[in-house]
Amino acid sequence: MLETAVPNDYLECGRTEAILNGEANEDDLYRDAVDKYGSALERLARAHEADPEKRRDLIQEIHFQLWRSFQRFDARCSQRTWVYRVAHYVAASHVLRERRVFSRLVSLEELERLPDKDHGQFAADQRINLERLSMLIRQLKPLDRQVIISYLEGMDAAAIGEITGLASGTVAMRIHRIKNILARRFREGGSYAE
Amino acid sequence: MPNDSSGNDPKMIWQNQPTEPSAMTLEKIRQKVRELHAKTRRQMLGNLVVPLIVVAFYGFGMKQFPHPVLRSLFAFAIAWSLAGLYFLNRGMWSAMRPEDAALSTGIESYRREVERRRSLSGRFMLWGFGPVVFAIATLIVLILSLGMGSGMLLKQGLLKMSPFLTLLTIWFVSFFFIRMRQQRALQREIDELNDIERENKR
Repeated sequence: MLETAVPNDYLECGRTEAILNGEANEDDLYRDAVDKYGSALERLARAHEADPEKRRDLIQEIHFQLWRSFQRFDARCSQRTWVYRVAHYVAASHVLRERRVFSRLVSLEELERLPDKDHGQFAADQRINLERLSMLIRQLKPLDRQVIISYLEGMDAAAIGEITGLASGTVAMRIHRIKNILARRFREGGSYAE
Repeated sequence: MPNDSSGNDPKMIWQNQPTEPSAMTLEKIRQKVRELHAKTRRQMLGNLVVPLIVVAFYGFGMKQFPHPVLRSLFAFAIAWSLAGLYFLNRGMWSAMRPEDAALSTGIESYRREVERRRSLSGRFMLWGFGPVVFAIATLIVLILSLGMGSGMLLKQGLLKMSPFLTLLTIWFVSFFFIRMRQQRALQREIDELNDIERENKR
């Protein structure tokens, strides 16, 4: 039987029994994580690197570090939290390495005050909207990126708090800011009830 | 937030973006491990090159120039370069392990990474840039002393070297200025993280 302390998302895991019994090695754990979060990791890399070549390197680095991390996986936190923490850490290190860019990064508060060059127009082409959204995220400092990416991935405040370590009140305030920014930048996109 | 049905919801745009299936396989990861080991060995050997050149050059200088002041300067340059080799390499290996990142929250691991980079940057100034500046300075002293030995006045020697010295000064100042600006940016980031953590505790 499953212990109550085991996070819920293991229940969806294809190799749940092996993981809980400690029989799964890092290869199994890695494969399982990639099955579930591979696309999310690609999106996360896009939010951190615009250049396709560098993005490919970043994705490889995330995968590599994830695989390495699973050598010590002990189910102390949920698989999702584990995956996102490692991925965010690798991505933040990547941002810090690109020092010239780092100096121009802004916080959510600053971004809220910045004028929108595109005047809030929502393009008919989804690719353009995606590029604008990605550019908006890439302007942010790493910690705020973690919040906005988690939010866009559909996580609730509690999950975002677990990954980032921010208190629920702080997460709620930041999500509120993110919603304001997105509503202003994508004004033409539809109704914006919070 | 935008209405989901409109298809204009940023969440929908984000989640529905086209992604390629992961090209990373376990075999590629193992290959990356091998490459990483090879790269580490190359890096370690590469890091040995500059201090070895310094040791060879100044060792030769110590043998050729018996003047006690010059000898002490050369010995100091050798000691500083070797100490630099040790301290810079020590900093290189202290990056956070991925499993530690997984067990730390985003803010903790990010703070550690920013602090590590700030510390590395400071360490590089002291143990990397410092010995290079000192080595160049002793080289200038050596050239000037050779010139003075052949009857040239100090003022004349400095005048002849002025284009080189000007370029060198510009390089030192620019490098120092850029590094200091990076240090300040990292410190500001740490201050902001402190504010966030204070806010978190309220």
